[in-house]
Amino acid sequence: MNSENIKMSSRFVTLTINGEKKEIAIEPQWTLAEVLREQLHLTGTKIGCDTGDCGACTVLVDGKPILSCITLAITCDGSSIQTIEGVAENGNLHPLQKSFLEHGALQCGFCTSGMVLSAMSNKQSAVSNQQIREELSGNLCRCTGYKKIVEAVKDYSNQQLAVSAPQNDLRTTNHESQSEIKVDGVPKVTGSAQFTDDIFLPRMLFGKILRSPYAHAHILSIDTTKAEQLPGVIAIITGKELPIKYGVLPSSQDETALCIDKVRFIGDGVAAVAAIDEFTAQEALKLIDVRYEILPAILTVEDALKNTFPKIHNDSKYENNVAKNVELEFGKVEEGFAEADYIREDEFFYDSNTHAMLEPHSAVATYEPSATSNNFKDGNLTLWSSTQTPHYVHRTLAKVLEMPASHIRVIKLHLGGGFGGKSEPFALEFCAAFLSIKTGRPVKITYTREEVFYSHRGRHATKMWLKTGVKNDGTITAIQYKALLDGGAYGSYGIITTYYSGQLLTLPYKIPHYKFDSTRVYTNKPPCGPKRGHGAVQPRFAFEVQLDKIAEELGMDSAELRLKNFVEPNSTTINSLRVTSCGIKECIEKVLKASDWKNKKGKLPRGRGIGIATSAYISGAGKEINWLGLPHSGAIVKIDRGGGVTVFCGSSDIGQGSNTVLASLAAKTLGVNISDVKVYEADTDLTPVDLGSYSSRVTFMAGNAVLSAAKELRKKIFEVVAEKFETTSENLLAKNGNYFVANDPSKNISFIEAVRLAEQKFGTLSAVGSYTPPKLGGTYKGAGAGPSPSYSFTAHVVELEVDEETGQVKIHKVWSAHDCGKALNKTLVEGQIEGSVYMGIGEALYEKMSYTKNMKDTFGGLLKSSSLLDYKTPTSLDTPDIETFIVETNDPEGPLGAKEAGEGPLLAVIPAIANAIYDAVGIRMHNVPFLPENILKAMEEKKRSFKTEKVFAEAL
Amino acid sequence: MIRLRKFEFHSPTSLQEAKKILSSNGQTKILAGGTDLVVGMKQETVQPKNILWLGKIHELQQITFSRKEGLKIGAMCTLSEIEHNTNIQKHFPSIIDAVKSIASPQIRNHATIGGNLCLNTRCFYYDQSDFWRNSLGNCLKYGNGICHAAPELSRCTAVFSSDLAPLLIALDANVELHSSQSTLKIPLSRLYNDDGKNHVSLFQSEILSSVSIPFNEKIKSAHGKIRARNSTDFAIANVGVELTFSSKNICEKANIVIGAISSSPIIVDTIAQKLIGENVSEKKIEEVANEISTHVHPMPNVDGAVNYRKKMVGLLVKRTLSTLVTNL
Ligand SMILES: Cc1cc2nc3c(=O)[nH]c(=O)nc-3n(C[C@H](O)[C@H](O)[C@H](O)COP(=O)(O)OP(=O)(O)OC[C@H]3O[C@@H](n4cnc5c(N)ncnc54)[C@H](O)[C@@H]3O)c2cc1C
Ligand code: SF4
Ligand code: FES
Ligand code: FES
Repeated sequence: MNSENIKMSSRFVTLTINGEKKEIAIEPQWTLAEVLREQLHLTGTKIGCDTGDCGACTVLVDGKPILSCITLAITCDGSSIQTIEGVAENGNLHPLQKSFLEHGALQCGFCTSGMVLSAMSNKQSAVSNQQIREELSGNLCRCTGYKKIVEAVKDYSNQQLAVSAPQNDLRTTNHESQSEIKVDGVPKVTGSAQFTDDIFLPRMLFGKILRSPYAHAHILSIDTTKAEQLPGVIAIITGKELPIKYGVLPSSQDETALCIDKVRFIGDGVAAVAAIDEFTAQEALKLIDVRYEILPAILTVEDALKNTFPKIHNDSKYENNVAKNVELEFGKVEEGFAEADYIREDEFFYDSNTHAMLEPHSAVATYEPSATSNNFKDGNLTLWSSTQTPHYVHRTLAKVLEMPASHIRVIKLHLGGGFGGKSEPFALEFCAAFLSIKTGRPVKITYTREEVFYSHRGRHATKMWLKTGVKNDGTITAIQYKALLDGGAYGSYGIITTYYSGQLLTLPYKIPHYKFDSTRVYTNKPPCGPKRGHGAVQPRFAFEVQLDKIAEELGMDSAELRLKNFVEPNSTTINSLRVTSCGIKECIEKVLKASDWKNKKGKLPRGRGIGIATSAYISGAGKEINWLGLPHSGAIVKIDRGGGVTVFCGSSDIGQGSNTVLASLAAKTLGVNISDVKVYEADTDLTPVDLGSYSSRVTFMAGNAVLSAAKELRKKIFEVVAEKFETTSENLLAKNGNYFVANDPSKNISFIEAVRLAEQKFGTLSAVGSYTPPKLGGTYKGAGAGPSPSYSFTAHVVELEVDEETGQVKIHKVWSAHDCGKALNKTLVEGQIEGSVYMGIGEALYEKMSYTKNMKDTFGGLLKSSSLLDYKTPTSLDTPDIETFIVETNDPEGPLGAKEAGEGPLLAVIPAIANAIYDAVGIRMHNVPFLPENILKAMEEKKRSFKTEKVFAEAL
Repeated sequence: MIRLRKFEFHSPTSLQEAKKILSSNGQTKILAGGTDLVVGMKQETVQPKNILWLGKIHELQQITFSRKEGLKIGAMCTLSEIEHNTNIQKHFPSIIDAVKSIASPQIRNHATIGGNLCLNTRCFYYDQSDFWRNSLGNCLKYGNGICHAAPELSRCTAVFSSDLAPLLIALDANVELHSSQSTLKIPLSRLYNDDGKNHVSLFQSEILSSVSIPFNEKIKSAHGKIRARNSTDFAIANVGVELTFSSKNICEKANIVIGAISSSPIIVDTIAQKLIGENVSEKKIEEVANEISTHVHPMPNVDGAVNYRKKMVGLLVKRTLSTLVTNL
C-alpha cells in the first residue's frame, strides 16, 4: 500500500468504545475518525473538513470532546471513547437527543453528532445562553443559525438541574408550536442516518480526481503509465472517454465529466483514479503526468469583456467571454424617470461566496453487467449521490454515459445540506459511475473540503448600477438596473441567474416602469451557480440600500417609504409576475413593533444602529428547465392494510424537512397520525420524478402532488364510509386515525376498518398525484424566468453595534417576519428563517471567495479561502439571537395554503445590516462583504470628506 | 478522507527514553496534542518518518504552583487543563484569557502548552494542501521557490501564531529544554528566531519539558487578541503585557510583547520603557500604542489586510494597557 519502507505497521490497541472494551489492530497513521468510521463502522462520526475546522467529527475521549479527524487513533490506546452511537442507552434516547428533536435543533443532521457530543457534559449549575454558545463554538452548523440548538441544550441543562422533575416522554409534536417532529430526526440524533459517504460495500474502491493546477490551459497530453503501475491502482480514466457535453440547463451544455482538451479553472477535473484504498488513489494522482500549454487567465469581469483574451468556451455565441446577456424593458422607463421628483444612481458590488454545506459531496456507484451482452450500456448502474436533484443527475448520467436511463438508478440518502451547491451533476458522479463500470466494483468518491470549494456553484460576484426615481411622497416611478455577473468557468444555472438578477427586482414594491440589462461573463474561476436566494440576493442588497438613501433624502422614515410602495395581494407586476397571497405589510408591521423601531431608528447612541429591509422570493419556478410541459413533481401514496401510509416522491430532503412536510400533508389529508406515514424519496427507481430541492419548490410542488394523491385516496375511503353510515362524503371527517360523521361522532370507524372497506370495493389502495404549475408570466422572450405560482415575503430589522476602532460588527438581534402562506410546520419554518438569517449574516460580514491575482510571472485564480478556517462561516458566537414571526396568508394555490420559507428570508438580511451600519456610524457600505477593514476604511474616508466639506464651508 | 503517510510511532514513558529515541532516529517529529502537527501532515507540509509521542510521559503532565517557586506547567498539560486549574485562575487570570482565546473547545481539550509554544508559523501560501501549494509553486518555507507573500525578501516571514507565547514572555517565563546531552533552562523569549522557516531554536533532539512563570504579587498582566470570528480563528493581532506598579501606582517595569506579526514574538523594548516612572495616563498609553503600531510591519500572509493588522496592534496595545491601568 505504501511505497515507502516503514518497518512497523499494524499494532494492537485497546479502546473502550461506548462502554465496550475492544482490542483492535490499527496502523499508526490512522486517525481516530478513520478507525471509528471504517474499522468499527461507527459512521455517525462525520467528516466535514478533515483538518480541525468544523467539529463534525467530535467524539468524547475520556469524557472530553475532541476532534477525531486530527487525532491519531494510536494515541487513544487505553482510552474510553464515546461516539454518537453510544449516547442513547438501552434503546432509549438520551434527554439531550430528545431535546434536540423537540426543539427542531437539527436540519440536515450532519453537524448533529458533534453538537450533541459537545453539549453532553454535565451541567452542574445553571448555564447561560452565552456559555452554551461558547461550549458549541467549535461546532459549525450551516443549517440552523444555532438558535434552536442553543435552546435545546438550555432546556436539557434545565432538566438536568431539576433531576427530581419527571422525565418527559418524547412527544411527537414540538412543544412550543405543536409542530411535528422531523420524521427523519431520530436516526440523525442517534448517528444511524446513512449519508452517502457512510456507504461501505464489499470490494469497494476509492476514487480520486486529479485537478488542474492552472486557471486556463490547453491539455497537451496526459500520461497515466506511472500511476497505473502503482500497486493498488485498478483503473484510471481521462476526459476523452466521456466526451459528451452536458450542463444542467439545456441551453448551456458546456461541461464534460473531465476536461478533454482544455482546463478552465484551478480545480477543474482532468483524470480520475480508482484504487484499493484512498491513500493509494491519493498517491496515484501525483504520478499522472499532464502537460499543459498555459493560456492567459481571465479573472475579472473587465477582462472577460475585452477582445484581447482567448475565449474560455470557443462555441459560445456571444462576443469575447460573455456567457449571456438579457435586456428587457417593461413600461417606459424614461417616462417613469420624467415623472420622478427625485432620482438616485448608485453603484454596488457583491462579492462571491459559497454554500459551504457541512457535508462534502460524495458519490458511490455500483455496476452489474448485462446477462446477455458485453456492451456496458446494457448493464445496470446504481449511483448513490449527495445531490439535491437526483432526476437531473439521472438524466445527465444517461446522456453522458450513453446508457438508457432505465438502466440507471440514482438514489439520494440523507444529505448534509446543499443550499444550491448540490443541485446539478458534478464530476464525481460521472467518475464514480464510469470507474465502477470499468472495474466492475463499487467505487466511492468523496470530495475533500478543498474540492468542495472548487466545485463551488455559489453566489455570482456582481457589479451593479441602479437608478431609481421617486415622487416627493416616496412613490417609486421607475427603476433601471444594470448588472455584470462573474460566472466563473461554466454555465451551470447561470442563464437563470442572469434573468433572476433582473426579473425579481419588481417585488415586493410596485414598479410602474422597469428596465434592466444583465450580463454574465465567463472567467477562469470555479463556476458560480445557484445559492440560496438565487440571483435575487445581490440586486436586493443594492435596491434596499438605495431605498434607504432615498428615504433619508426625502426626509421620510425608511419603513414608511417601503410601506408606501408595497405590492398588493392578487396583483401583477410590470414584468408579469402574478402575486397571489401577500403578507408583506403584516411582516413589516410585526418587525417594526417588535424591534421598537420608532424609538430606536436614528436615536440609538453612536456606534449602535438599526436597519430595515424587505424582500420577496419565488415558491418554485413556474417553468421546468426543460420546457417539456411535464409535471414538476409526482407522488404515489399507498395505503397498507395494516393502516400504514407510504408516500413515494422524487423530492429530496436536504435537511430542510421536506419529508416531514410531505408526511404531514398525507397524514392530515388521510386523518392518520404522522407516525403512521413513511416517506420514500429521491430514488429514481422507486419514486416518481420531482425536479429536486432548489428554488424553494418542494413544499409547494411536491406538497401539491402528495396532496392530490392523498385526496384521491381519501375520496375513495369517504365513499365507502359514507355508504356504511348512510350519509354523504361531505358529512364525514377524518382525524387521528378515525373516520366519523361530523355531526354525529358516535358513528365512526377506525382508519384500518375504513381501509378494509375501501379495499373490498376498489382493490389495492394507491393513488398518484402530480403538480404542474398553471400557465404563468408574460409572452415576451425571457418571460419564463421569474414567474412562480406564488411568492413569499419577508421583512427584517437588524440591531447592531459597530466597534469604530476595529471595524467589527456585532449583531445584537434580528427580528424577522416571513409570509410563508400557511405554516405546515412552524418549527421547520422557523428553522428555515433562522438558518437563512444566519447565512445572510455570514454573507454580509464574513464570507468571501478570494483568489490569487495575476502576477508578473504567474497566473492567479487560485482560491485562497479553500478551507473552513480561511473561509469564515459564522460560529455560534458570531450569530445573534433571531426572533422570528411567521405571517400566515393562506395561499390559494399552495398545499393547504403553504408557500416557500427556505430561501426568501436570506435576501433582506444583507441590506438590513448595511442600513443598520449606516444608522450606527453614518457610513454606507456599497460592497459586500462588510469586512472590518473595509468598514474602517469607509469611516476614514468619510472623516476625510467631512473634513474637506468643512474646509469648503469655512472658505465660503 | 485525507490519508496520512506511514510513519514509525514511538511512545516512550519517560523523558529519558524519549531522549534516547530522539537521538537515535533521524527525521523524528515530536507529537503532543497533534492539533497542529496532524493538520500539517494532512497538508503534507510535514512528512515525518518517525513520530515520538509524549503522551505517556507523566512527568510532563503536572501543574505546580507556590508563591515562592511560581507556576510550573508541564509541556503535555492541555490547554483546557490550564483553563480549569484553580491556581492559574486565581494567580494568573491573564493566562486563562489567553488560553480561552485559542482555537475551539475541542482543540483546547487536546492541544498542549508545549505544542502551542512550538506551534509552526503560519502563512496561507503554505498552510494548504499539496495540490494547492504545487499549483502556486512551492515557496521558500517548503524548500524552494520564492516567497509569495513578499517576493522581494529572501527569507520566510510566516507568522508567529501561538497565542500564549507573547503573554508568557511578558510574564518572564522560562522553558526547560532536554536533550540527550543537556538540560537547559532558558527564557522563553530566547526560544524564537525571526525566521518563519525555522522560528523555534530547538535541536532535532530537544524536548521542551515545562514552562515556569515567576509569581510576583505586584505585577499586573493582560492578554489581548483580535480575530475574525469569536472562535477557532488565529489572531489578527495579539499582545501580552505585564506591568509592575509601585504602591503609588507608578509603573516600575513594562513588558509588551506582540504576536501574530513577525515570525517570532516582538518584544517591545524602548517604546515600552516610556511607561516606566509614570503614573500611566491614557495619553501616554495612546502615544506608546501609536508608536508600536508604526513600528510593526506585517506581511500579507494571514487573516486581515496588512494595514489593518498594523492598526489593530496599536489598538490592542491601547486597550490592553487601558484595562490594566483602569483596574488598578
Ligand atoms: C482550527 C484550528 C485553530 C487553531 N487556532 C489557534 C489559535 O487561535 N491560537 C493558537 O495559538 N493556536 C491555534 N491552533 C494551533 C494549535 O491547535 C495550538 O497552538 C495547540 O496548542 C498546539 O498544541 P498541540 O499539543 O496540539 O501541538 P502538536 O500539533 O502536537 O505540536 C505542534 C508542534 O510543536 C512540536 N512540539 C510539541 N510539543 C513539543 C515539545 N514538548 N517539545 C518540542 N516540540 C514540541 C511538534 O513537533 C509540532 O511541530 C489552532 C489549530 C487549529 C487546527
Ligand atoms: S511567508 Fe513566504 S516563504 Fe514563508 S510560508 Fe509564506 S509564502 Fe512561503
Ligand atoms: S471533520 Fe474534524 S473538525 Fe471538521
Ligand atoms: S443541521 Fe447543522 S449543518 Fe445541517
